[in-house]
Amino acid sequence: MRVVYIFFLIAVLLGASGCWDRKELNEVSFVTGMALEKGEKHQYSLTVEVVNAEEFGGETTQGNTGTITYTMEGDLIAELNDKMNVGLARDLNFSHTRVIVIDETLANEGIGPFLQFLERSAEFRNDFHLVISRGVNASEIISTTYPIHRIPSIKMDEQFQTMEKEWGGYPDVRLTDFTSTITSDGRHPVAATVTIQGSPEKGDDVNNNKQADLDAIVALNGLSVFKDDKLIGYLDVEQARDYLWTQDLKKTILTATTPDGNFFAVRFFNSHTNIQTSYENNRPHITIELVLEGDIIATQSKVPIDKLTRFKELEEEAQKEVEQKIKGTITHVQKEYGVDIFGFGETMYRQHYQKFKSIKDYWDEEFKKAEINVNAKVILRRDGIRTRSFLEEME
Amino acid sequence: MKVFKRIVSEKRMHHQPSTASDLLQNEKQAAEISTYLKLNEERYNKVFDKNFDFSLKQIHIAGQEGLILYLKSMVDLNKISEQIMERVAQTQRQKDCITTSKQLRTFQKDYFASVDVEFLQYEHEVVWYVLSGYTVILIAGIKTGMAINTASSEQRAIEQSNTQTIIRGPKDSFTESISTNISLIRRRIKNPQLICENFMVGKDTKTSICITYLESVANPEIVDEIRKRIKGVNVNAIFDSGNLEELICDQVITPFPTIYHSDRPDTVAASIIEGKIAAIVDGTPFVLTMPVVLTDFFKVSEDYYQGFLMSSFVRIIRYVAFTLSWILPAIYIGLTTFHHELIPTALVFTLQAQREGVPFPAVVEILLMETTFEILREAGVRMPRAVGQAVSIVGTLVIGQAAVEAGVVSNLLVIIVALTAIASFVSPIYSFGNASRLLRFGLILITAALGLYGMIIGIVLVITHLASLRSFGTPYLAPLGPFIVEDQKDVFVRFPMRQLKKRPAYMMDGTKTGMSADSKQEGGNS
Repeated sequence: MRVVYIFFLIAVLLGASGCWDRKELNEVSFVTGMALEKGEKHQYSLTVEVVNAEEFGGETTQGNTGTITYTMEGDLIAELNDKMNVGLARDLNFSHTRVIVIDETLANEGIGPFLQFLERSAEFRNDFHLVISRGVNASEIISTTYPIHRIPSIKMDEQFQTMEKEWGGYPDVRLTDFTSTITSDGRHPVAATVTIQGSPEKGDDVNNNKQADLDAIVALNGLSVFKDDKLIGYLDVEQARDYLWTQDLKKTILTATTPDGNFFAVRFFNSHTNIQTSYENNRPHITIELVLEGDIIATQSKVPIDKLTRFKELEEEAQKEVEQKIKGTITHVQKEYGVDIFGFGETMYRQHYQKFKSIKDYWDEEFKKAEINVNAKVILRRDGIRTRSFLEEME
Repeated sequence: MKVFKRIVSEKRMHHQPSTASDLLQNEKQAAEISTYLKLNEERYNKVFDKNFDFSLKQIHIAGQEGLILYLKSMVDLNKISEQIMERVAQTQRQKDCITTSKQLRTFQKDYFASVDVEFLQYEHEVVWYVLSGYTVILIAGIKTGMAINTASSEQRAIEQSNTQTIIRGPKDSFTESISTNISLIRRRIKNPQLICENFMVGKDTKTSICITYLESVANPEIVDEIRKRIKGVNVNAIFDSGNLEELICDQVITPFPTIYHSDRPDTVAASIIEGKIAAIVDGTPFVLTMPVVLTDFFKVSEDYYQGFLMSSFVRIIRYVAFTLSWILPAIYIGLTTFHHELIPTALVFTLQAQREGVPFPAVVEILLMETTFEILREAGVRMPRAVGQAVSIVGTLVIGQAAVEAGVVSNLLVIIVALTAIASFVSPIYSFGNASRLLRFGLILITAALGLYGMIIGIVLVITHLASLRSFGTPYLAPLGPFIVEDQKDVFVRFPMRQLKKRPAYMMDGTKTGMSADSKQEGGNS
């Protein structure tokens, strides 16, 4: 009896799965990047970048291209993904997708319908970057080669992550971040913008990798500002960093001027952002408080940094610079685009729920007239391994 | 499972027909030794008649007619002339004839005090002692026979252990002689509580089996159980402790050994100190110890001879290696045929590039290489030493390297098969390492069908099976399941000696037999 029972259990367990999704590694092509543009005949034109794995196997490398791109038009991405074998040899696997580039002309019309597919599909992970191509076609972004990784999307992935870690200026927007901000009342989405420096036509040749000065290179271009799922404008890289400061940036480098009119640079290694909201006199008041800890990494001034007073002076200058930059960017967004990409509405939702409920339907209008205060506190900890520079002795 | 148990127990109890020649050896038909020499002579001649090495001579002993019987091939002829014939000649000077058994005993004290003498009552005893290399003397008119140990002491010298090598620690190992083996243990444990009980198993072989334990610490219930099971064994022949192991273990249908075996006296002595019971089988250097738990198979006696930090480190390595040795190929199949998304991006391209042009699915590829390796391994064990090099050259170079170059298998796969194979040799007990070989193939097949989901099912089944195993009533997973906190000092890591003062808790029973709880818990550890 017990034997029968055990066999029954095993049979049930086996029935719960099966070999239906069995795919040998050499029966699939891995898609690392996708580019979405407006189609001519159909709604979309989809370009996929699949990896030519033989180029990455050490012994099997032949100097051919590392990736192959293929473009098809169709009305639904879901169908296109499986139809790609019109031109490509193998079954596509999307689990290693790193970058999805959306063309700006398409983004202007809204990307919601496309995103719902990505969210629904079990094949995609949530860890790809969602970026907007500016000034060039999206498909050109994923076909611009680079000597180090030779897979454009992998290069971008590493580029974005390093940028975010070292300087800031890259908003790490993933799929779920994007979709949840679309539906949020107190925030509008942003995405990173990329463009090509150089000539896009030459970029898709492996020979582009054979020179020191590349003919084409994919470069970060700041932020794309969305109103719900429609692209309405851009912020540059500097402004992108200011934006990220309001989102609790950890690490960056700031250049400011000393009281005597020379440049100095501070590396912030630890900073905290705290947003306080209130609603007075018929307008929201937003106070952004930053505490920034940093080291002085360069100063072109001859004044030695060996006195506490000098530190205080520089701290004050850096503080002023940070406040001015952040406030400038927020004001720019208020005036130019009138959408709350900073999530102040969300903060207010948490801090003053009743008030926000009454104004949430026209929050963007409220955001436009909001009063912004930025208070930065800069603490300089160290000054490198020299207190007195040789510049002091140079006449 | 009950079905299997019944079959096994029937097999154990089944009476195999005994050979005709051993009628005299059968205890049930015990017949006393006759007082008529003529009758005796006829009877034993009938038993041993056809053997060229049988010797039956008439002698004069202490003024009586006598018979002397022995097997020339089993005895040391020098011993017979020195220890028996010379003394028999001396007895001629004795005035009184001996006529009763009582007188025989006095006679023995006078002339054969220094030699190993047994007194025999029955005919089957005479036959058995002759077969064991004794010289039997029968005297006319006396019902008692005298057996003198003249067995030739030819045996292998004590050598280094070949199967369980260590770098630091005692180098000696057991031999085929049971008395040598007992002496090796007794030399290590000089304690009057050390008991050696003798059993005789095997209708044809009459193999001596000695169970050895420390009376003060061994669990008497387990000792009783072992006695019962050994007595229940009913087979014709026992040649190795492996025979006995299979006949007395709790469960036969399992890849895991439920009895430990070792040819190292220090390991066995340490187990006895711990409260385990050893069974020494005559004719084999492998001594069984029981009960055993899973974690014992990851311990080596050297763990206690070197520093505890290093011991703990290598012990963790052993656990890792054992896990690798049965799971690694399954992980490879699961990842490459089902779960590509779990492989890091950079690695997946390298793997894919390696698999380009490989004509087989990963499971065929891995079965091919694993089977090849198993064949090589079996050939390596069985082949005559002289052709050893040929096999290793063919194995490593031709099959390993050429298979990759021919594009039949991928590079990484060769690494995996090699790593798996090496990992399975890390286990200190060879038969335990074998368990991983069997499990590996099962896991490969189930993973090939169901992916990592199947692998998890497989692992769960194995763990469930382990949890259900018992070794003489001790849960096989103890002290991990049931979890015993105080025993964790000597499982995955070894604590310093000063902290290892107690015997494993799972070895103890509730009832005490004349020993205080303290003395039961004190003492060494393996």
